[in-house]
Amino acid sequence: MAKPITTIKKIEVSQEEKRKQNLLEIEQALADNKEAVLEGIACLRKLHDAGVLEIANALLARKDQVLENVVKEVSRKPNIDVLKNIVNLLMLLGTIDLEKLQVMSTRMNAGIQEAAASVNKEETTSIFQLLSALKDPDINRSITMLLHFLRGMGKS
Amino acid sequence: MGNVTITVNGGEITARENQYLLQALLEHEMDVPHVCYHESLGAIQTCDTCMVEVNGELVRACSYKVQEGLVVETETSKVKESQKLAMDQILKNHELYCTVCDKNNGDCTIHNTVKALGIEHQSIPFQPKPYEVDYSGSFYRYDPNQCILCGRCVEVCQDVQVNETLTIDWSREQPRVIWDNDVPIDQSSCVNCGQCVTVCPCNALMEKSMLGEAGFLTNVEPGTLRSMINLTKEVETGYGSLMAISDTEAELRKERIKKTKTVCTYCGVGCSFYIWTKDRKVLKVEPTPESPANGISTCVKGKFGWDYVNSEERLTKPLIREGDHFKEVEWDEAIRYVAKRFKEIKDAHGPDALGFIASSKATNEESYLLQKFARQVIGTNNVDNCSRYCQSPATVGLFRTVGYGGDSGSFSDIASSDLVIIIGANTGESHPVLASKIKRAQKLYGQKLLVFDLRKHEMAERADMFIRPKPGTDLVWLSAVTKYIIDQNWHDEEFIKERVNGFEQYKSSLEPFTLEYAEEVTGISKDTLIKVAETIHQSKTMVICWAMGVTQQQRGSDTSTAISNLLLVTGNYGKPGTGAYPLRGHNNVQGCSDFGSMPNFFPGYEKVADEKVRSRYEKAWGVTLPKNPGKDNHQMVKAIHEGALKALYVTGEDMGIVDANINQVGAAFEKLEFFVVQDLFLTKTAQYADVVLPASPSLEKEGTFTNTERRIQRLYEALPPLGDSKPDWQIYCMLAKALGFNWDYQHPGEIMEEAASLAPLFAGVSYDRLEGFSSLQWPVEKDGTDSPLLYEDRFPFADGKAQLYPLQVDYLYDVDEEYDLHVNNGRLLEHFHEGNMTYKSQGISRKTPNAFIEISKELAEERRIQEGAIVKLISKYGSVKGPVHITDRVQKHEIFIPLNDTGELAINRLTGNHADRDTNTPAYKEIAVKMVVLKEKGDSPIRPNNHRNGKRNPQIGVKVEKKWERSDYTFPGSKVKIHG
Repeated sequence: MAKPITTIKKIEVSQEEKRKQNLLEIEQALADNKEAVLEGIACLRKLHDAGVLEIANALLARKDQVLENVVKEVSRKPNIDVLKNIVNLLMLLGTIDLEKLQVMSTRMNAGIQEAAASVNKEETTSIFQLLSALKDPDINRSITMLLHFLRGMGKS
Repeated sequence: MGNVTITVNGGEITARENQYLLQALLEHEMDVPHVCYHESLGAIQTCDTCMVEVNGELVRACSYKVQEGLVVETETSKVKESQKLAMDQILKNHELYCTVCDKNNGDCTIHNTVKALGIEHQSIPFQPKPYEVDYSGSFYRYDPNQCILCGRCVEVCQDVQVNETLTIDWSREQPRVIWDNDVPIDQSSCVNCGQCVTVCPCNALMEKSMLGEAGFLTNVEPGTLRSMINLTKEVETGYGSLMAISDTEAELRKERIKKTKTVCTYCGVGCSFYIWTKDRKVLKVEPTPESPANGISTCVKGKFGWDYVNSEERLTKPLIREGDHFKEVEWDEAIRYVAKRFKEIKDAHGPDALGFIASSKATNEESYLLQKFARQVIGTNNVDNCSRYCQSPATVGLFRTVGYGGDSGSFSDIASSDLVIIIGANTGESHPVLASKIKRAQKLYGQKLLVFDLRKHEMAERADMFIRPKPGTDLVWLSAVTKYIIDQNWHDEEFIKERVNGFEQYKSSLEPFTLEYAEEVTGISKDTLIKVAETIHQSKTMVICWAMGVTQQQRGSDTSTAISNLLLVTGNYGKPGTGAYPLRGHNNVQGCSDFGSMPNFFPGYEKVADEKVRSRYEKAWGVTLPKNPGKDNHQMVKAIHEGALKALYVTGEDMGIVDANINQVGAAFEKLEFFVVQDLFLTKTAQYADVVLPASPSLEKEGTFTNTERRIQRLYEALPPLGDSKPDWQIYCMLAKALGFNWDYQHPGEIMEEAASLAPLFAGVSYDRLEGFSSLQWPVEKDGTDSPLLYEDRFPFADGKAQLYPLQVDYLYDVDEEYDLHVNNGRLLEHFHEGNMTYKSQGISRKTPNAFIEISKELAEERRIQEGAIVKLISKYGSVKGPVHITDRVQKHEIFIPLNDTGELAINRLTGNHADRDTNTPAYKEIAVKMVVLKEKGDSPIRPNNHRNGKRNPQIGVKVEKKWERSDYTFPGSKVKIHG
């Protein structure tokens, strides 16, 4: 004769036992991840020494207020301009064609080497020498390249 | 539609004639931007972003029909300019703050389109609209400020769900989406199916469970959030950088939001979807176009009804009865104890002293294991499932006539049929997603709908003909209509000659069913019956859907047979758009029977009495199996009272509430020597148990469910089992092991493999073939060929022919002078069954907190009672008490009670012991009562914010012409031409 019942007696897990079980799980996790844990501790140590942890804790504790302040501050006109400039600069960097720039810079390096070699020579160049230097294919290439560069830069 | 060739950007592609151009282009993976177009909704034509050039003209690709020889350009500057102009109009209505938006999950249509178009700046600045955000509803909110007025939500509400709540009011200076005639969401006719939220291309409509949860930066104080939005806009020089940052944030979200494919655990439609979870929190449910049964559709339960999974009331440890209370124990103690008691009882009284009841909520694999447990481990065929309470009569009716106990086709056949007849089924509330398909076919494509029911439910209201027969007389009108059709020579002679046996004998058995006789018995006039016959005759194809209104009667099997007879006589089997559809009520009521939890069948409906079949299982399982069919649920309860059944093991079934005449069922439980219940909660049934085992629901396990279309679909584990609860299959394995059988299944896939190797019906079923959203409809051949439509070539009988089955009428139910009222009962849309899952949803309960008693205006006047009166209904078996709701859904002396109550209004306090004579399915629908008025009036049991009080606003689509007529509208194409 089993009458319907609704009371449930829960298994009482004592605080001590719960603690033991938790510690066991933690110990297991530590043992399974020895390398990562040790590295993590080293990292924590450095963060602590540098006082970063303290700041981070304080920031997190007051995160709503902090976020509001940060957003407010950052939203001031001069700061917005700074951010805008950063974004613009990043954009500018993004537009430079690095592959072509590399060709140019190799050539420039060669030029700089030649130039560096002539720094200590007491040498001058007359108009005539300059004109006949155009016959030298290396110099002619350089001049032509510079002329193209000037044309490109001046384009509207 | 034939194929044609068109030229796109100089190259030729093949498309179907009259197909919409955008669809053709997308099929060829040509990226044309589009915002309002949705593959499941088609062209809405509000956004103008899909502009392309056709033969030099700018047109909307979404609504332009493909013809031979079109010359299409999608990349010209004219095209690009007009697309950008269109997008400008959209962004005027939508503020882009993606990084701090909960919709930023990689699937925001606006975000992705802005990115694809490479839009950097907006020429028309964003303007907030003068409307408040509407947070009033239970489950979702509408933000008019973010709404781009694309109309997808309206389209889905009007023409897919066909609840007809949403419209866009184009006449206002600032148009917006409105609910009903502009009331708050909570006060409207909205049924919370959630489909508007699913299709919203941005964050205008959002699940409340997503807000502040999905993003990393979205859960900040509103003021700060506003400043952050402004800052984002100030700093980001163009949308490009905004997109880059928010895309990164969206990537990060993937790390903590898990998306798992699952199959809904409520009704038999079998909706599948992704469920988004963050730890144990359910963020949202996302159906997708690839969901085979439902596409993008859901109902309120599947979309929002998941709170029960994390309910505080879940059992998390096994319980053993100890005097006047249960004590929690560890698993090994519980298993050892159950095994010991089972063994003692089996040794003392034989294996047939034990009985097993499987759950139609559990998976196919679990049904397979429980019947295997009963047969192999214990040695009894005493195993059954809850389809006994509902659908067994339909199965018998189909076995007799056509051979397979399942729907003859797929939902697509129902949707494409010329004529749908619904008998005794409240499809709109019991199978809402299927109902939507019928409502859509009727609203847009001229499908005819005939409804036979006592109660004027939603489908009845929408029907072309709604007919109210007297309770329990469907067999008579069905036979009379069939006879009339044959008498008129309207039957399908060729089909009958080629494919059906027993016509002459059947025809003569119909002699008594004259129209006059039918009119007298059913109360349906002769003219109406003739009109029904004519409608059937004029329709090329017909399907008949039925449910509990037919099966839960003493003649349930015979009436189901009569339905199938009518379909055979009219040739409505084996071709698209035809067939019999007994709509299964639970997610896996079909599969639970399919996989063998029945007293007379092995998996795949092979008889236990069949020597050959039995020896196959004996060989596989290494034991001798009992050959006599076992007891069904009904007989088990009887056997307990008689003292023959000593132990019962019930999985996931609140028998103490859902079986008929619960007064008697409760008494039976008390008599058991040993009673084990496996469930999520301490149900009414579990309260009688000696041991309660905590099970895990669908979201916490893997397995498969089979929907009403015979469609097998996989579910995956979205959450780990709560506490120490376990999936049923693991519990069965532990018990079998404790009783000396080495059940070593590591994964449900292995169980399915075993079942498929033994049951020819599932020969080709495997987890690989069911990966993700793939599905299989049985029978499945070894090579994986499945059967969306049955009987195309043959019926599964020896000579391949169907059988007409003669019937007589020898019993009619009626009320009498003392018990003068007829009680009908059934489901409500928003609650499921006895409600132990859905009442846990606060959003549902606040709108529908309890069951009620629906009575007609006539009866209210006769008994001088008003809305909210409290009455007591007394039957021969018991009584219930509850508040009255007066409505014209019921008529005269007919009363309706939703079956979602476990307390004073639990319907089965009224039901008796009679049952269908062929299947023992309780005749739940045959209840005669008398009424005692306890209080004459009171508060209405229907809350003011219940959708039943809303006022629908039907129209077709979003009425985009009204947008085009506005003086502030210009077609982007014309603008480009003026400038260009």
